[in-house]
Amino acid sequence: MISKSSRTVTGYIVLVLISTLLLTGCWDRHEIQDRSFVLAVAVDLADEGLEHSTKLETFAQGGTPKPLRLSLQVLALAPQTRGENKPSKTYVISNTGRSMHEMLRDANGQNSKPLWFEHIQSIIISEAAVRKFGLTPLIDLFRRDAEVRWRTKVYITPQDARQFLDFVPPTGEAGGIFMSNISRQEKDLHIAGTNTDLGATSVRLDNKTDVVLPAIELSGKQIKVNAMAVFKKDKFVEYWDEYTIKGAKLLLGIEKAALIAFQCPLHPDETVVFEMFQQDTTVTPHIEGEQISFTVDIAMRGNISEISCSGEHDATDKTFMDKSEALFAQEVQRNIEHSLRVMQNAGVDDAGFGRNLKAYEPKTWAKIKDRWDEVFPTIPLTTHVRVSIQNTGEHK
Amino acid sequence: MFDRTPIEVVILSFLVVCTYGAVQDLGTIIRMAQWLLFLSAPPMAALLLLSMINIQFINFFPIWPVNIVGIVKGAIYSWPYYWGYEVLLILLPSINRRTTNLVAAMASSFLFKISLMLLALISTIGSMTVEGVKNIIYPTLLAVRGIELPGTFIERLDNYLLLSWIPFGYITIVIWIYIASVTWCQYFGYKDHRPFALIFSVVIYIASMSLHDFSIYLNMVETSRLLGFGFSVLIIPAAYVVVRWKRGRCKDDK
Repeated sequence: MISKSSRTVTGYIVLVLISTLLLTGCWDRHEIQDRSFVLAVAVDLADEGLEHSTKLETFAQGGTPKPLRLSLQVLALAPQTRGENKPSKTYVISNTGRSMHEMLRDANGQNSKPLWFEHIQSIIISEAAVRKFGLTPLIDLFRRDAEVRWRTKVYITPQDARQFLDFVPPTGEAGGIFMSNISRQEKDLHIAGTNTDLGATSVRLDNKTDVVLPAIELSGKQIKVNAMAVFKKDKFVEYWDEYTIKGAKLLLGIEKAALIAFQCPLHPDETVVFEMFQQDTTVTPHIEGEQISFTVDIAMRGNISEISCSGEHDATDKTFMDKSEALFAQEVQRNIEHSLRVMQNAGVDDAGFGRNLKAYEPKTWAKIKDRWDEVFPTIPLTTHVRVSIQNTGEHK
Repeated sequence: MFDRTPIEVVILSFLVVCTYGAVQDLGTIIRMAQWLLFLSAPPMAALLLLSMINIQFINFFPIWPVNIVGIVKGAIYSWPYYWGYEVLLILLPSINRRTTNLVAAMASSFLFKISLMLLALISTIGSMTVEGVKNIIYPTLLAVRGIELPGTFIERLDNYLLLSWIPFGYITIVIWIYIASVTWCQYFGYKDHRPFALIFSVVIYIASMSLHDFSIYLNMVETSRLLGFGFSVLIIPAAYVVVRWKRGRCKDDK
């Protein structure tokens, strides 16, 4: 005789088993092997990179002009056997048009699987394209699309952007991932890898502030992120070199591991290098009547990392240390003043002075925000730098 | 999320589960709310805390705008963040007063809600600035999407935020349907609230289907925003004054 409780338990088990028939999977699923992962995107003017054009890389669009070329680096998924470590394979498909979304959609006609944009690592835009269209329209789709990651790296290149998608990294990584990872090594770069990705750029555009993006160049089989492309709002202005960017990062207090070098006063052909590993920066606005000025106080700590004339010096000597600290501080000050001069000449407020005024002197900001472009180039900066050498490495 | 599923199926399946919850008695709903709270709140709070790695303190300044009208405008504009708290005022009288301190329950409810909202505010404004947040449809999701932990495989955490958010949405709708049903049931002199729960679920389905046009949805948001703000600045203070006045009268009568 089966008891009532046993019947209840059996009933529940049967119910659970039957319910599993309804839980066999989601019809909205997308299997990995049924997708084509786009890892990098390149945007050019359509008349650039003609060597890649074919008559299929375009589509009917009611006779409207097709001024842009959109190229996609797609990961070629291939099964690997256990222990095998083949380099990633990618291929490139390309299209011309005006609307990014139409070009992307039409590019599906060149591929056997739906293109998937959730794993885009790098967006490379040619200088010619941003000069003609501005930055906002070229990244609008990527800001709007829920699939695209907020930390996707955006690069500007003075060259044809499409060729970067053909680049095969020596590490075996896919090109899009390789390029993206370059900007992630924030400690080893004199360019600004952080706060310049898609999310940060989107926020800057929303705030109507000036934008800087890392610039990338390709030469033969090498690529290098070596400068910053500077925008007035979303209009391309110019490139800034590594020295200028280093000064800007020191001024903003976002430098993680700068190298500061000075010429040895006793041996003019030799160099002494300081590796900063900690920076504490305070930027303070001052308002006196109509005059706005800023002071920046920087305290930095680090080690002496190289003395090319080390045979002539004792790095642990107090006099040498004190003199070095003063010379490093002077160099930081010179670097910052150089960067501010470049910014003011370009009229691009990458120093964040406008943001600082808005935050800490909102009444003054409310008065001058409409003529900030005129005010910014006239703002004086007083710099105070204190350098503390913590160590000299493992050698005197 | 469900791009191949007809929207009617998504709405109906969620609504069926919500209605099933709403036809239960209050004790069951409260237990369910307790379970879901402990299931959802920790991961949500953890994700919001994790998003703090992206905040910049300068984004919070100036804390007070130069133009004070901006605060009032901002309060009305940000009202959708606080939708639903008014249910607490209706739920609280139902608390078992023999075992629960009403003031403590109410205070902790508001404290919890304020903490979560404050965390979301710090996370979004701190990482995306005020102007950025104003331009983003789902700022909390994007703040969490921006989390990138170097050297880890952890990414796209917004999916997990969404997963922890769904139980909150579920229990909110259950309580709405339940409270509306019980109110109508008592108003019309019935004992069983369940038929009203079924009727309200149909109303919600029709409303959901009608609001699929974004423009109509925005109108609804605007109306709700004003109603919600009016509820807080007019109805709640008025109710407080009336209760105080009535209490005073009762004392005088004694």
